[in-house]
This record gives sequence, structure tokens and C-alpha cells, in this order.
Amino acid sequence: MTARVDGGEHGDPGILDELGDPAGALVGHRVLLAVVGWAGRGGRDVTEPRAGGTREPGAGARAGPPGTTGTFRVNYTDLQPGEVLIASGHTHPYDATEGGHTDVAFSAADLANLVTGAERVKFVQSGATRFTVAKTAEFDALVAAADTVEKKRTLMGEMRETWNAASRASTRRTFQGKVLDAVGAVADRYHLVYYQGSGDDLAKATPWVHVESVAPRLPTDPAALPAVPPQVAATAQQPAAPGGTAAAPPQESWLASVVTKIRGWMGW
Amino acid sequence: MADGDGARTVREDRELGGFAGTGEVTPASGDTATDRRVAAAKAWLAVARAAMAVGARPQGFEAARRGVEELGDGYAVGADVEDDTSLKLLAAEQANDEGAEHAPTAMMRVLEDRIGVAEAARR
Repeated sequence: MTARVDGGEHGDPGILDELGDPAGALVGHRVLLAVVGWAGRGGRDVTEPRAGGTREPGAGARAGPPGTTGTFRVNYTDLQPGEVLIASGHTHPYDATEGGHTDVAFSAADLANLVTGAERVKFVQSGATRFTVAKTAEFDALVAAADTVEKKRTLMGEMRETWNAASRASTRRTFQGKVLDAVGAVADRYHLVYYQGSGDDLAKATPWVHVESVAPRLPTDPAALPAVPPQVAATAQQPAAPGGTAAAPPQESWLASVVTKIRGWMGW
Repeated sequence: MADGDGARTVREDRELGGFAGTGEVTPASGDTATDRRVAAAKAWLAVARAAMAVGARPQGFEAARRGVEELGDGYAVGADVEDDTSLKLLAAEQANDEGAEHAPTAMMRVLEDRIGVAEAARR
């Protein structure tokens, strides 16, 4: 894959690393869309060549416009035909006049906007710390039950108020600690999977609410997808059996393969 | 009221500890209550800036805080932005509780950003 959501590997910078967030150096938010897509289906290629000359679906990122210190716009309209949005990410900048804070997790709005946002995963980079939140089937059910605009606004308002109340009630001494308590309260009540970590530890972090999230689905138009020689994929993935014979590859569809990869990136 | 060009404006004046400020908005949606809240928030921001200009930090913080309070929580409805100012507000309040020097500027940033969101939502 050309990019990894969960950080770099073997010199691959990873989508999160593209955000960057040197402590106190940023005045405005930085924003990224994380996408997965197919070759030849959109204006920008997010695929990667494979042995044998075929291409496989790849992950990529679209940088959004810079925001202010407190607000930003997610560049949802940058999604190209044939791509699926899997995540959005942004930074939490605090310059010296705001205390120079790092390690600041999700805001009330970051979480409440999951009600209307298309992404199933959000991530924040603040200093060296990375925060991730993912939707769940239970959260989807809450959103589905809010079947009018007004009900969705009410649900979002309740999530924001849960965040605000928990931050006010927190007995932690630091600002960052109060934010963590607020995020934990929202994640617990609204069934979101929440991770935090740094470096390569994000995927190893124990989620506060452990419910499997539903993987995003690629556009379902298999007839238009390029054929993939199974033996190519199998040779790359399967270790040789004793005696030098390659193990029999499992027969996995393209879509299943992609879903498996996405789940691997997300640590699902 | 009408300005010199005949366009209607909503104007609010606020004062705190000898510092005064005025806020004006051009009505956009017919929602008079919202117009007045945004104008009042701008007035409080002007008060905070006047206070900070002479180093009156407590008044600067308090004026900005009152602006955030008077603008209320409904300012972002309809705005096409992600709003992280709940974090900034919590940080500013904590900074003030701890007597940190940056508390007034942090609270003013919150007010500036929320006024920007409110104005974007009114367009």
C-alpha cells in the first residue's frame, strides 16, 4: 500500500505522519481525508502497481484547507469517483498565547459530528499523541433512530452536553486530563471505539468501548474492476511450506482482501 | 437602525470596568435574536481588546468570557465548519483558574472563532 493510516513502516510516511504537529508551531488546524480507491475510477490514482503489472486498490490522503486556531473545514468534496472515505484527520494546534498545549484529544464537536459525517473513523494528532475514534454498529443504530434533522441535532446536542458535563466534573488536574475524561464519557455512552497512543502504539491501545466497527465498503461494481491473478497475491502472502512447495493460497475476493487490509490498518 | 447607506444594522453596546465596546451586524436571516447575540458578542470582544490594550488582563478575560456566554451555544447551527472551540474554552477557563498569563488571549481566541462561525452560519 502506498500509505498507512496508522503510521509509517519501512520508510513509508503514513497518512498520520503527513499531518505533523510540531508542538506550538501551528496556528491553524491541518486537515486530511484518508481514502481508499481503485485505479482508473477517479481523477487521482490511489492505487499501487503489483507484480504482474496489475494494480491493487490503495490508500491515500487529501489535504484540506488550513483552518483557524479553533475551527476548520473537512474537504469532503475532494473525494473522487471510485474512492471511499475511510477517515478524516486533523490537528489540535495551541500556540503560546493559548498555552502551547499538546496531547489534546477530541473536542465535543469532533465526536458529535460523527452523527452526520460520512467517515467511520476520525483521528487527531496533537504533539506526539494520536487519538482515534471509530463508529460502531451500536452507534449506527443510535443515528438511525434519529431519523429527522431535528432528532439528529438533538442527539448531537446531547453528545456535546455529555462532553461538557464530564469535563466540568473531571477531578483531573490538567486540561488534557479533563478532555480525556470527557471523551471517555462520550465514547462509553454512545458506543464509540476510542484509542490513544503514540508512535506505533496506537493499534495496540486498549479501546475504552470494545465493539467492532463496520468496515467501509468499496463501490460495488465488480465487473469494472481489474482482474487479479490469484497466484501473484498468493505467492506474495504465503510462506513456503517445508520442502519448498508454496502453501495453497486461500481464495479471497478483491473486496474481502481490501476489507481485510482496512481492518489491519485500523487495528479492527 | 439604518446606517449612512440606508442598510439596516443591528448594534449592541457593552461596558465593563470603564472599558466600552460596540458591535454591529447586518441582519442576514431575519432572526433578530441571533443578530443581537452576534452583535453583543462583537461588542464584548471590543471591550476585551480595549482592556487588553492597556494591560487590564482580568477585565480582558471577563469581557471575552461574557461575550462567549452571551453568544450562547446555538451559534454554530448551519455553519459548514468543524468547531473545536469547546476545547479552547476549557483550556482558557483552566488557565484563568491557574492565573496563567495567557488566559485572556486564550478566551479572546475562543470568542473570535465563535463569532466567525456564527457569521458564517448567518450567510
